[in-house]
Amino acid sequence: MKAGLVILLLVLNTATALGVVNNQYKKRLVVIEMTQLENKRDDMIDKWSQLLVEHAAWSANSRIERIAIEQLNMKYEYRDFLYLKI
Amino acid sequence: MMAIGNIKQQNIRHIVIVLFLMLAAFSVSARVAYVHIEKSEFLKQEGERHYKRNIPIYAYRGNILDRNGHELAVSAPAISIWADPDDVLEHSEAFEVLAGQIDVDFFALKRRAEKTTNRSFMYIKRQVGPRVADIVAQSGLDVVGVIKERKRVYPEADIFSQVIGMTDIDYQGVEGVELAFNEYLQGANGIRSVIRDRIGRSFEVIETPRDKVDGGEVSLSLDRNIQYIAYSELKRALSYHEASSGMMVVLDAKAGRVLSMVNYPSYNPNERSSLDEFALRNRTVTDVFEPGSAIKPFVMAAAMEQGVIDEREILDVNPGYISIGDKKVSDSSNYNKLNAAGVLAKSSNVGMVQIASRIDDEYLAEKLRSYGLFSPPGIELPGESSGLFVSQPDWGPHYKSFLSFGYGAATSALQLANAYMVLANNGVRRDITVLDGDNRVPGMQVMQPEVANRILRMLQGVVQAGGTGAGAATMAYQVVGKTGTAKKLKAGIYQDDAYIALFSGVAPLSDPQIVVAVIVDDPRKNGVYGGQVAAPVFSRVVSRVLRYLDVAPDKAIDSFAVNTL
Repeated sequence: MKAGLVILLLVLNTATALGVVNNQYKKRLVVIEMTQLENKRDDMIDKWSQLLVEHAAWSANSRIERIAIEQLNMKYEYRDFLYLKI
Repeated sequence: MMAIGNIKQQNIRHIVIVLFLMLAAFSVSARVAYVHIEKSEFLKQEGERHYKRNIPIYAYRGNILDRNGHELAVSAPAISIWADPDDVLEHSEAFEVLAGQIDVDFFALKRRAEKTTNRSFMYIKRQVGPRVADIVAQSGLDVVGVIKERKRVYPEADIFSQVIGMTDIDYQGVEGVELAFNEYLQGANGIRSVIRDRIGRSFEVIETPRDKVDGGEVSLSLDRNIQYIAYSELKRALSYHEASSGMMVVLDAKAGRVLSMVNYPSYNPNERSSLDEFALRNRTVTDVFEPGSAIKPFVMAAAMEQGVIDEREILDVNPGYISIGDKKVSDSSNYNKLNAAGVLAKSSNVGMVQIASRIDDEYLAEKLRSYGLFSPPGIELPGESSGLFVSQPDWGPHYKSFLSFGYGAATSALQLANAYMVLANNGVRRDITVLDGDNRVPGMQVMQPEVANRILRMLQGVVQAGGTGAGAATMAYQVVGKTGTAKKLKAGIYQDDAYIALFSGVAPLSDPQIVVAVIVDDPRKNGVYGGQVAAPVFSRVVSRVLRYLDVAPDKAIDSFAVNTL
């Protein structure tokens, strides 16, 4: 009876000890995964920022006006303000 | 006998061994107790020093947007190159080659390295693009380190530079909106305590004493398209008139929001190697100038509010000049007789001096301040000027006369636009803001609504044929405003060959939407007067901006050009 109780406690003790080790291991894996995800998120934010800058540069008024004048031979006309198709 | 002797000997040995083991156990226990009680804190710190690392969690600096959500300032990834100063000196030949490839002055780098040999870190180049990082990687120099950072990029470059300002190399706002909203934009970095493995990976988070707070986005009331229109037109005019500088403010006439605020010359905040200090300032907010005749509508408004002038009254402005003390002040020609509207349309100094003489001094001073000409516009930007204005009790005998045509007091471009907004807004003055959003403080009635409307109607004469600002008229919209030309003051003397030309006005007259103030400093060619230099800029800007804002023309259809396709 007494020996059985000791063995049971020993088994339980060993099991909880293994459980603690296992949990610690899993926690570390999760932390590593979290760090990787954070790095990935930062990379995506960087990429997004880069795209925002590129978008702003491509759509800049000065660039559009330059292309309109140089490549499409357009010009800004103040006098002929309104065109009516009759 | 022998057996008894052996047993005794064994007992003694047993007791000695037990005592020895007990002593050993006690020593170990005592040491454990000592370490845990006495040395606990020290050992904990030592342990943490070896495995625990406090790593910063960097907050993102918020973007700055225009009122349509277009980015005006963005935080983009950047790379900084570093090395140990000793390595720079040791591998100087390899570093010389690398320096040439990444556009760094090697001799300056070497001098810096020689000065910092007591340290183990120095930047070689900060905040560079990925191309430079590739060059470093290809160089094969394994003593060169790369740090990932972020830098501020301004996609609109020189068009918004003075308003948006910029950050320094450490990411702190030093000018404009970047400075005004620095705390909100930058957020707060966090700290995380971690345990790292031998290759530097964090595998356990001990605690996060402070989490990061990313900076907020700032949405401005400025519109990048309107800003571009204003900037390009101002630049064009400055080139045509060979002027030294210029500025322009476009306000939303109803809400007091800034739609555009431009200065020229400007600078590119992305390229700081050739920054000019003069170009850094947002002069529309900080710099003041004598407004010249642009002040006249407000002196007239004060006279009408006090009831000392009747619109129908005919003033005798013959012979076209008047003596004020030892100074002779003239009109551009002798207009003989003018009514109040004519005084504004012809910008008659003689007429204005007569009208101002009837206004109570204290009343005029208080009114001009309340209209916003000489009081702070309440904008969020740094360096806001309150204008220069002599307090009423200190007015000299002729001060009011000179003030009536805009001399002896100075105002900023923003203050001038703010005052014209009072006319456009039925006499209500509002604080000016660069922020988007609806939660505005209600304005204050500073001018009688009927006076504001009558002044606007009177100003129609200015932009009609024969008026001083006829060049401000547009094809499709009715506009009103007032020209101004002020001699520049240098070393206390008014110059006869240096002027500030300006025009400030409101459009469209039927339902004012925008207020525009154009100031051109020291025009040298193709005219020097406000009507010749600033009024045409006003006209072009108003035409383009109102069309962009989808405002219906309010001129009769047969009065402007109609083309058939």
